[in-house]
Amino acid sequence: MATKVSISDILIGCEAGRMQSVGGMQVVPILSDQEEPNFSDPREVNVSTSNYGTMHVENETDEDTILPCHAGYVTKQSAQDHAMPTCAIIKRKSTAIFDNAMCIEQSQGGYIDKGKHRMLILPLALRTTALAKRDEKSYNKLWSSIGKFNESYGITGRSSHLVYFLEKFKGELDQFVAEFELVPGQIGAIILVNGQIVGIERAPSQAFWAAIWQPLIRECYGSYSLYLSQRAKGQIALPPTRARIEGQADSLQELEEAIIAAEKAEGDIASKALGQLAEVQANCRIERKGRVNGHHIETLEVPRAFSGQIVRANNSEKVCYGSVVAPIAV
Amino acid sequence: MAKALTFMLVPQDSGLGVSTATPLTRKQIENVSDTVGRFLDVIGTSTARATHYNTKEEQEQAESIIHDAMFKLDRGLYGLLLGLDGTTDHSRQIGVARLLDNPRSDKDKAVLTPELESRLIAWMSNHLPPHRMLKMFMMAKERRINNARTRKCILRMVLGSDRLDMWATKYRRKMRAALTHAWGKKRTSIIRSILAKPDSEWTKKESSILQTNIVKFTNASGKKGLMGIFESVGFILGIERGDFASAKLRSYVGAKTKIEDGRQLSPETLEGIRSVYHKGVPNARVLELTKRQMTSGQKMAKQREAKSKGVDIGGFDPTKQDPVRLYLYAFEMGLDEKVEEALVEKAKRAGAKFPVKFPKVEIIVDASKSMEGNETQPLRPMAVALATRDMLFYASEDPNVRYCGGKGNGSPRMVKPEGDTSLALELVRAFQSKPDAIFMITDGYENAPAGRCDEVIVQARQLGYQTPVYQLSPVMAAESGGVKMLSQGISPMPVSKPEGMGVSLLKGMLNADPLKALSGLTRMAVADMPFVQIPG
Repeated sequence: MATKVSISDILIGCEAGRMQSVGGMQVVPILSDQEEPNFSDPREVNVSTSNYGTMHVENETDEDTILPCHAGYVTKQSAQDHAMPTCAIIKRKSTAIFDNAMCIEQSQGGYIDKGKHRMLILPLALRTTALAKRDEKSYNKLWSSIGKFNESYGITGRSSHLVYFLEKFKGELDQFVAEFELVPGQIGAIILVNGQIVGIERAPSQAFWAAIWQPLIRECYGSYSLYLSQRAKGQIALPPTRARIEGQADSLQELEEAIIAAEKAEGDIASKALGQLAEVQANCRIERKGRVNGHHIETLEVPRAFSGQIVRANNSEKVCYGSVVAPIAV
Repeated sequence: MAKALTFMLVPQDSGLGVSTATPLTRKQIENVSDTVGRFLDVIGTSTARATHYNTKEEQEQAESIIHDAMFKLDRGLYGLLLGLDGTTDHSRQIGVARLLDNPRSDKDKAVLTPELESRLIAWMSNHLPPHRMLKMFMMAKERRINNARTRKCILRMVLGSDRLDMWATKYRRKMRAALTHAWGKKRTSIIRSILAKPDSEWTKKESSILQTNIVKFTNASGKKGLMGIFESVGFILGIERGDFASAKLRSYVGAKTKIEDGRQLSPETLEGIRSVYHKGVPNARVLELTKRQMTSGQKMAKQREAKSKGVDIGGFDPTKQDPVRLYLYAFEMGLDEKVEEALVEKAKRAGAKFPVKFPKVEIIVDASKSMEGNETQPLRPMAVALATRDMLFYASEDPNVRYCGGKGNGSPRMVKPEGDTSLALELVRAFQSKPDAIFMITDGYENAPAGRCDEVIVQARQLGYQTPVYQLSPVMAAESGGVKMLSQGISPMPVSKPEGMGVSLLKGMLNADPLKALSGLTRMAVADMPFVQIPG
């Protein structure tokens, strides 16, 4: 049964850190010392496939873990790469099987051998579609979208393999990881592109956030920023949410004041962005299959605006994980 | 072009020789300046390991392109620049391998004569630590560089060492590979079979073979000296006897039976023997037995391990270590009084030698998260930054230091990287103090926000503040073919060793006054290498 929740529920107990701004992309770090530390590092899971569209995720640790929304695995094995259409809670010392997984490498056969494979998060432009198709049990449900996605980056005439995009733009994607830095106390982020919120992310703890930050900033959001940069032929206009200081100073003292004022202005923008989220109400559906040890998953949707999932922990109303994104067309 | 380059670059009094030619055009000068600038970026920072930003393969590809361009410009200048203080060992390895792989022809015109180039190659090889020198020979083997000059270089470096027996126990496999590459498999086999026999049984022909292939390349003299060399070479080639004259070689053989006999060996060598022949003996015993053989650097590196195993290996002499290594040690073990004294002393000496003097400087240190470096080089960028900070501090009469990001680490001198990169506010405050120069020690990745330093520089210039601003980068960013620029108004320079910063400053002059900068670089290189002095 659908109810309504405020998108800002994801960020209760958090405050905005100093905005980081590079090119057209901005990241507002979300800070909190309220942690749910009892979720283990999602990179520690062992992943394999036993059929096309069926993923096995094994958690050998002593804690439950959360597989982030749209976690994907691109391996060097002669096996079909796969990704999840949702997030998932994996109980400690157990293996979960997902038969609604998606193949992201159209013409490659073979199953993934069990192992700790490097986790990515699907590119932003694929995530809304992936979530919408979560109830379909069809391993090829994302191929058409991957094909269009690759074409929009100039990869044409080839099968729908996400790895083609990842290989072609490896350098550019790596640079995104370097451009944005983790800050102390960071537990999540709001991501803006050209001044618009395109993603709201939150982790159960600072350590968990540090673990998922790279795949988020690299494959997920970095891919979209790269698309915009290509479209603008490298001439990216600074976003309206990035304060400027040109022409404001007649002395160094005034220049210093202008910088401080710009930092404050950007801080106000970040706080305002957080505040505006409180007004955004999402339809919310509890995923019955997602219940584990008192934690459960909810899918949120604001029509034509945002969609994603959250995890509420320990039979409480408190959101410990959230990943909500805007629908992006490339 | 090369002839004109020689004319342009070589100071009249250098002793390298000058040839008159038509001066270069402005465009050619710009091209030379750009190529040399990029080359200095690379050789000052490249270690071919991954960084926070780029994989190992990306680094190697980027540096290969730049080495190619500089080599084609002038191989002599290429070699000279590699000899400058501040060049990484890795860059010298690459450079020597390239020089050996491309023999000179009579038609080649370059700043260095063929003879000087050979001396340069020998000088650079000698100044590499032995394991890096051997790695360079492995590069030659992998690239199938096998001309006469390469073979001679390998044999002189290996057989001419006065620590041949120690190297033989420590790097046996690599030395065997290097000698086999130089001699060829057949000749190596012949030499081995000769050395396996007592010397009393050598024929005249066999003695002649040893003379031509070994004696010719050693510095040893007298029967005892030469027999020591033959013994070590035989050991390298796999001959083990119980009656070695060399204590090191005896120790190696004896330690296989009784680990206590291994006191003469390096810790790594004895640990290798322990792990095969004495598995039940704890590793701590190896530290205990070999502590007298440890170099000061090894003692420094093994302090934590020894402490955790309850072994007292004694202290190390911090005055013998370079400041970057000392800071890396301090990050791991804490900064004690002796290490701090050594850091200050080294900084004072380096500061005194700095080729350019600024009475008043502002030093801005980027201590953001990205200065942590990559997991293969943890905290190295920050260690370089702190050592550079120290040197600049003592190179000026009136210095001031500012930080962006970071957190204290038990001492005012130590700063650990943390947080985002917001350099602009410190930059404008630095301008306000009206210094003679501003040094920004940063990797160039600004994000709070990106471009703000550029905005500050532009506006400061418009307000009439022409203070030179230098960006010193402790990493090489492969995507820009050099270091990542913070602003068009800042001259970026690579740094891997603070004492090499004189080079970086001259590199910074390349845009403003390329002829002067290039001439200065050549002069500096010639001054650093005594073999280039023409006697009489």
